[in-house]
Amino acid sequence: MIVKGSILAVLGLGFCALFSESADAEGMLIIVNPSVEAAALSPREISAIYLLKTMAWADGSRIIPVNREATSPLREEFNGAILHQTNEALAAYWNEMHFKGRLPPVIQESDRAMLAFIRKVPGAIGYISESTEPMDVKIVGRVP
Amino acid sequence: MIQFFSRSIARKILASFIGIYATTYLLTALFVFTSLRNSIGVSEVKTLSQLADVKMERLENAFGDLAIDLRAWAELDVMTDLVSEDVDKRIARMLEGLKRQYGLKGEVYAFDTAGKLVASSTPPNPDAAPPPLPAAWKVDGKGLVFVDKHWDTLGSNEAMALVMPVMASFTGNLRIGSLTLTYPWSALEHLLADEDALIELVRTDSDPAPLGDNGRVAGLSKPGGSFLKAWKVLATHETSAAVQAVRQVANQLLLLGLFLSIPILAAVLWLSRKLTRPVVELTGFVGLITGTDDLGKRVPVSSVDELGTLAQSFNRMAASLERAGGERERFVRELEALNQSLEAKVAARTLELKASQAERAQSDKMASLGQLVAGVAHELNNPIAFIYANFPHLEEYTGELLALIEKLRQVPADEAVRRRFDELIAEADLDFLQKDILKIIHSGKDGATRVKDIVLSLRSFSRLDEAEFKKTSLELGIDDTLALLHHRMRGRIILEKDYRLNQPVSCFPGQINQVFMNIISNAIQSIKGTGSIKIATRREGALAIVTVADSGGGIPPENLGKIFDPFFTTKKVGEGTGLGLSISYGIMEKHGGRIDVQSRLGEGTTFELRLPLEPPAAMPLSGVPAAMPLSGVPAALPLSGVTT
Repeated sequence: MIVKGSILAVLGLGFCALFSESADAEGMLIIVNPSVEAAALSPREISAIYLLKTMAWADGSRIIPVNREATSPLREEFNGAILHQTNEALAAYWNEMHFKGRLPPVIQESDRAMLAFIRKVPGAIGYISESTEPMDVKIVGRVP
Repeated sequence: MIQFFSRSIARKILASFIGIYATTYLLTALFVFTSLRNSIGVSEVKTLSQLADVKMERLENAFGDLAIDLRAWAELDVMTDLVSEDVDKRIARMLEGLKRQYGLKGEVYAFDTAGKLVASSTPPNPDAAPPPLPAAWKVDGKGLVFVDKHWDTLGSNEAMALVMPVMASFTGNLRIGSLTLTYPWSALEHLLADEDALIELVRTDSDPAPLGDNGRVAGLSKPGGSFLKAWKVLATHETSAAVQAVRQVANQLLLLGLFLSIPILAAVLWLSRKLTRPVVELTGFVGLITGTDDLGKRVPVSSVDELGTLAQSFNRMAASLERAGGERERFVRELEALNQSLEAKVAARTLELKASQAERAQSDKMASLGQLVAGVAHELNNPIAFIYANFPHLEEYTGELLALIEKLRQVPADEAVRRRFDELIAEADLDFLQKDILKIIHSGKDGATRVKDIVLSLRSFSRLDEAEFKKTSLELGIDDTLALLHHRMRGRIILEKDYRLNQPVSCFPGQINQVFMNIISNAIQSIKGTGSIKIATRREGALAIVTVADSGGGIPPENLGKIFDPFFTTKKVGEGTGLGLSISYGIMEKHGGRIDVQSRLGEGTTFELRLPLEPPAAMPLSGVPAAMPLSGVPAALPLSGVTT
């Protein structure tokens, strides 16, 4: 238990260090791992994925949604544009889903990390700001 | 040495006790020493083994704790960044924080699935190319892997490591990398360090130095349970510490033995003296007794133990010996006395037997001789009677014939005739004839008389003409006899009489008188020149005793046994018949009495006649008529005495 507490404290420290990043409102790209067959996803489909209602791609492979950290302006934007819910509501929702055995989206704390993750993990889906070059990923949507 | 100890019981006891003490003490000391040394060694080994176990447990626990931590770390959300190669340095920051916070001895490295180092607890030198990973760190599977001692290329040191695969939290069964926690060997050795012992890890397959060898005591732990399965902890330290304790104990044992030996020796000395003193006293006393042969001495009984019993027994033995010796002496004396009396008895009995035998022989001899003599006498009796009876007539007739011849000479006749007669007479030597014929006749007559007397005597000896049996005074008979013999004693023999019987005796007086005659006559004859004769009578019970003792020449011993034999005589032929004593013997025997003779040559002879006062029942009381009429008992029987 002490170990876990320590780990949380370390994580807390980590999070504190991230608050300095600015969050300008700009467009974002919805990207998936190139292994995903779908060419484009509607905001509704994306929402279903992130709300853990759609768990698998059309070919049956597992969908791994990737989110930004809670304090990220991009995530706020994503929440508003796609999920239409506040961070708090979503956190409560994902907690509930976690209890039901469905893992919430993976957190990545930067566009580079998001890109790297999406690139590496088959079935992954995430979002990055438009300003970031989407290398080796497949863009399936765009939020203006 | 052995001789010295074998010379006395006390020394033997002393030697035995010393031997027993030394053996017991040495064995005990040896046993104690060995046991102690072994137990000290065992306990040392045990202690070291326990220490090794503790150390091993500590190592295991340390690795266990690290493993738990590493598992937890691998499950942190931040590990997801392994996928994105930790572009945000979240993992690196976390690992640095973990190392700092946990004070880790080694490093924690995070690798992605390709084996590329993603993050480490210490920032790597950005200029240097990352070294190749140790091959052992590349693991498959999903569980924690313990990597044994190896060369850590990243840390450039010998290390052990724990490798934990990191699985993606966002999707099932996706491995996204691994966490490696190193543990430097130096840190491990530091963890093992102990101030009391040298602790080191040895491989289980290696053969550690034998315990106790190289001057060290060693204890080995069990192999590790979870991680250090290939290792054991070897704890060793110098044996000198243990040896020191053992040496101390040995010295103490030696001292104890020496201290113990003093009172024990004293006690043994005292005991041996105490034990052997009675024995020595006893020995001394026994020596004294055997030396002096004084069985009257007694050993003092000073105790009630076996030695006391021995002393008592010895005293009893001495007493019994003394008693036995006394009895033996008494027996010897009695035996000697018995022996002497036996000899005397034997001699007496021999004498008696001899006498009895002689008597018996005599008696038998007399009996047979009596028969012989009786036969001879009977046969001679008639012829001699003729001869004797004819001699008076022959004498008478011869006288008449001689007278006739003288008358015839006186008859007148022619000269021629006369001459013729004278011539014839002269031729016949008539004068001589006349003288001689008378001599011859006398001589013949004498001879015939003697033959007659002998025959008579023989008859008297053998059959003994019986006369009247009556009570008569022996003294009277003796006096009559003496009167008859008076002329032969007169003037040269002194007669002493000692009559004490004065009591009539039943007998044939004539025969008894004949006995008196023979005995006294012999006594007179034995005295050449002057001498004395003692005649005594007395009574002994139912016996009348008559003794006739002379002072004559005595009888030679060789003749004593023969004097009662018929015809035994020492006189010249014609002087004695040799029948007197034989006849006397027969007479006395017939009366149930006896004749005894004692004689000493040159001093005299004593005859003792023993005659019962009353005749024995077997005795014929009436006289037997003689076969031939002879004059009863001759007053003066020609004595057949012996030369006494």
